[in-house]
Amino acid sequence: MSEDRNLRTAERKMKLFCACLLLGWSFLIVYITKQQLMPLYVAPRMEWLVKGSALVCYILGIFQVYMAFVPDKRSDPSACNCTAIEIKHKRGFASSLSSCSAAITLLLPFILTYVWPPMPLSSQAAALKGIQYAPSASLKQWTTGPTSSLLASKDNTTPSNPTAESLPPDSSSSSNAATEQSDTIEPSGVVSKEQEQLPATSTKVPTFEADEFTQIYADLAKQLYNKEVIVVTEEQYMEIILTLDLFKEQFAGKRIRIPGFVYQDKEMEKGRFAIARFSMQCCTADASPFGILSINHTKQNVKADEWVEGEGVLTIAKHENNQVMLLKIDSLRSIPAKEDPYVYPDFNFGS
Amino acid sequence: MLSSTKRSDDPTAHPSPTLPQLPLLLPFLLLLALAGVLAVQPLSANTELWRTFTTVFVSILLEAMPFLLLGIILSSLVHVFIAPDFFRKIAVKWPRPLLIVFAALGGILLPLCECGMIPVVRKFMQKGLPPAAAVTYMCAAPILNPIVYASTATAFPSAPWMAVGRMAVAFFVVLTIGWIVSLIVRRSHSFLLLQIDSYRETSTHSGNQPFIPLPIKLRHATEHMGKEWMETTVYLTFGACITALFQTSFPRNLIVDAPWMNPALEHVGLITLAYLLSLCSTSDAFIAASFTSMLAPASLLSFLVFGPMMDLKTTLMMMTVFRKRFILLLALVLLIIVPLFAALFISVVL
Repeated sequence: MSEDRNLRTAERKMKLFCACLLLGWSFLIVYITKQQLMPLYVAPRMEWLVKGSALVCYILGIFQVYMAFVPDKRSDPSACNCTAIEIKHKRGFASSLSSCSAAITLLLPFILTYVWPPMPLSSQAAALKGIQYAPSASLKQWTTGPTSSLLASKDNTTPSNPTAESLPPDSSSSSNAATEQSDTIEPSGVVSKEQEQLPATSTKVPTFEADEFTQIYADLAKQLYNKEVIVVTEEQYMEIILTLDLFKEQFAGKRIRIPGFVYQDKEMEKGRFAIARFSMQCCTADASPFGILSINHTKQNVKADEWVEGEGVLTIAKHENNQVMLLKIDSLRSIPAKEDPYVYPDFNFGS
Repeated sequence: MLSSTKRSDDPTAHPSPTLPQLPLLLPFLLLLALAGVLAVQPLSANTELWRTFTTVFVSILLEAMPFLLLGIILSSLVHVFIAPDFFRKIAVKWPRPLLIVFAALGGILLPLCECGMIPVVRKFMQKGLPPAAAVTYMCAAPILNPIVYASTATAFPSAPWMAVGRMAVAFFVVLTIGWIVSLIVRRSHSFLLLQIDSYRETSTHSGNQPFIPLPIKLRHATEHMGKEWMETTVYLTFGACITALFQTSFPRNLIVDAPWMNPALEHVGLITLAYLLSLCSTSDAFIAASFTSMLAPASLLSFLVFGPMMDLKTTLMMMTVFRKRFILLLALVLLIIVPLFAALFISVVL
């Protein structure tokens, strides 16, 4: 009968360990919520799921404690061989070693969170993931390829080059923007060619050519174009950057204001940096950085990961063999780091 | 106390409950991954790197936890409330090919994602679902469901055929997988599963005894949830840990923007990336969409189809059900047929 008692003690220990872990998770989630660290981990639209799982963990944990101390006489659970997975019962050292590593693994999230407290993804992660300066590329998916044959009804005008007809051809009446443009000394000749296509007037709204996929961006572009300063807002960070990038020829010369963290890498020319944000779908594993390449024309120095708000004139430049937006920043100020460092796709966008 | 006498007869039959035991391969794997990180990252490993690592690690776990809990609750309820032969009885009535097709479309009925999948699939097999159908469902459900279709369509607004392609390629891939598994099973059952005997439930079980009162059943189910939660979480945590290491140390452009890329290598490269990043099937399309300017559509399809079927996180969780050699075989087969079908689809569409 002592064997039976040993068995029960072992089972109780197991249940208590399990209960500790379950309760630990629920407390961790509560702690994260209380400290307002949740934005560092998951997107707001997933938060209720995580909070719900805290509740479930808590209830399950309490039940485990209850079952550990109140054995049920009527049913002997150990009689059912329903271990969920096959456990190769090693003996002696190997057994204790692998049990031990299992226990450590289970405790790892708590230990690591204590040792290295969470922090928002920074430019280190941005370097690994690669900042997208031309996000509109995802809208121009192989438009000459399969799309044209599959969706024969769509015309062949790609949203990528709405230039020729849509732009006023005369750039002679040089606006402020254009003059500033010519001041920039860019290494490649491409830029000067682009400058010729700059819209000369800022009062007249150019046409934003769009197909059915880019119509929502064209609509946003029309709204944005008449603003004196186009602010890249928190709510539509990605959408606005995408719109600006999609119609960058039209928007060149407009004033843009963008907040974000500073990102620099070796590939950038001197004086350039990017103002970027991470956009998150569900969790930090899928966060990817978006930003606008900038050149600093102010006296203020910037360093990586600093939070700034830059304002300046949008131009087009070459970066790593791509035509990307380049913001010529003439006004730069440091801002406090955002409480929620991430931006999220606007799910109501275009509807 | 019939059970206790049985226990003393054969001590291995009912071993005393211990912590779930990790195969020792896993700590070794972790050390390997750590060495890899230190090799890629400059040796002046700063705390920022490790803080980011912890954040990503816990973030993956937090994100997986609701779905894992859903999986174990479902599995425990199935365990207690559904008769041991339930699926077997259904399965014998259906012709095998039809069963596999049905399993492939199972994701529409029960759209589970990768994290919650394993406990449920394990339980379904214990209740007599043929392994071929179970594996088919396991591979299919994370892709072939309406949620993933919608998110893929959103991520590729100007290429609606991408979402269609993902579904179509996944469908034919899982059918092939199901067919291969049923061939294997016909030859030897033990190639596939860990310890087949533990999957035949004994008649002591509630399913055969209709007169067990509900509270006892519920208690039993709750007990199960605890056990299963712990056993699955060990593997999930391990997977999340290694995934986070890769997430925070592996430069994407090694694969995405590499100069040595050619169309064939691109498939392999992107499949490797999908495997290492272990993204959720609902959000990986957005990552794929950000690669569009650099990569061919066929290899992106490979990325989108392979990732949800098999990645680092799920491989570890699969080790609670399948033998390592089967997992390896599955990975190899997927590595061959996913690019094949993806390329085929693209060439047909073109």
